[in-house]
Amino acid sequence: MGVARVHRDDPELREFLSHRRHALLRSAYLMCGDTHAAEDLVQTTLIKVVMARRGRRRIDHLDAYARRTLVNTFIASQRRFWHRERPHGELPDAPVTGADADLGLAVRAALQRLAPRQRAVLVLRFFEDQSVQATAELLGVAEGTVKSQTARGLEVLRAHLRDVVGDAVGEVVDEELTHMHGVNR
Amino acid sequence: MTDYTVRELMDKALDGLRPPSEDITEAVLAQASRRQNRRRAGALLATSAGLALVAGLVVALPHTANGAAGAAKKPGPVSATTHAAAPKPLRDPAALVQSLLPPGTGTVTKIKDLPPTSPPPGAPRTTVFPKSRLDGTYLVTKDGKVAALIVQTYDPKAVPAQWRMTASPANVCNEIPASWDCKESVLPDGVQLVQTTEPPGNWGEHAGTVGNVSVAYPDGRVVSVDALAETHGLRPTNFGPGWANPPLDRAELAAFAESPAWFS
Repeated sequence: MGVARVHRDDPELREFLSHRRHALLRSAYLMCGDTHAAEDLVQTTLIKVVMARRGRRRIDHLDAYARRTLVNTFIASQRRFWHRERPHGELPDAPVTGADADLGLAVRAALQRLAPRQRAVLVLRFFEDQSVQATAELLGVAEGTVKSQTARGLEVLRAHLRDVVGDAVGEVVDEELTHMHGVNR
Repeated sequence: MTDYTVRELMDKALDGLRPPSEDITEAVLAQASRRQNRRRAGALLATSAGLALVAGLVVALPHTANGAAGAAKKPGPVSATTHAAAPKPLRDPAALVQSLLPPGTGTVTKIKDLPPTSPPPGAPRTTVFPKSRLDGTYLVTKDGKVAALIVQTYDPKAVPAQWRMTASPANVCNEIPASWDCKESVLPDGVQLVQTTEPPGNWGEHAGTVGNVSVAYPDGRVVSVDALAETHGLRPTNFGPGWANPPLDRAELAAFAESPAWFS
């Protein structure tokens, strides 16, 4: 890291930039909870991928490299004092029970109650279907950390979504926790 | 009551998120280039700040670098572990690298560079810049296990012009995950030293732990060294089992990269 070299066209890279942006945007949106922040995160990620690709790194799979860069950039950005998490008290109240739109809003709000790394862990584990081992490698943490962050994150989700969709989520979350403790997906 | 999996809940959270309408490929490529240019500008600014000192040193110390006295006076950093400058420059790059390693580290061989990537059909031909003869990938073999050192250097005064490298932006460690244990230092004479230790799987899909140090001098010279615990993916060839850790620890790697021999 730290230095860069410059060269030009790279068809695989161009293909990647054109076709994988939306997938990255979906994960970014779940982590950021805001369209503009998610788009900024994806653009920053793609720029870093381009710069790494132009440098000397051997990147066997651009998608995996981009995913790693996305989550690590997200977590790093949340560490900066000017970009601190909003206090929980400023989050919107739970929306009205029932409608899908409200449920989506409630899930986004619940995700925002999680610490950045917990959010990244849940997105990687359950949205991108990464294993505990893969998630640990992506984030550069121990597998035990992924398991504990998953458990805590799911508990927060369960607590804040129970009011919206009742006990169904709680049961599902319990199943996920049971599954998580038994199997490394 | 509907049952939801966590995945389904996340899908609900994505309701209303529209796919991006415009293609930002060109914008991303351009912005990456601009950022690289800004890095270069930062390095030039640092050069201006130390102009009097550097100019004086350049006049007093032409790039002979084949004597201990000349090497000692170069505007280089102070190493945690110092190496005595070789009395004469070693012509064989592998022998030079071997001489810079702590005794007993392993046997060094240099492998051939990969050929430049071909541009796509119809695209303009890209310029292949010359590099220092010392740039390249060196295997370090000990007890049948193989690690690697990847050396890249840039000297703005080299003729013909080399493939450009630039210093890291200030506070670069703020942009790097904590797990990389990034440390940025400004050494005497304004030399920037950036050290990281990338966890397994980060440098390359199957890479082990990778140590990196980059040394940027105020006069624009840059040395970057990656120390790889294993060699998987470097070339189509399987060089053999890797090491448990990179061949040099942080202090050794810094001393290795800070050697004046890279510009001899």
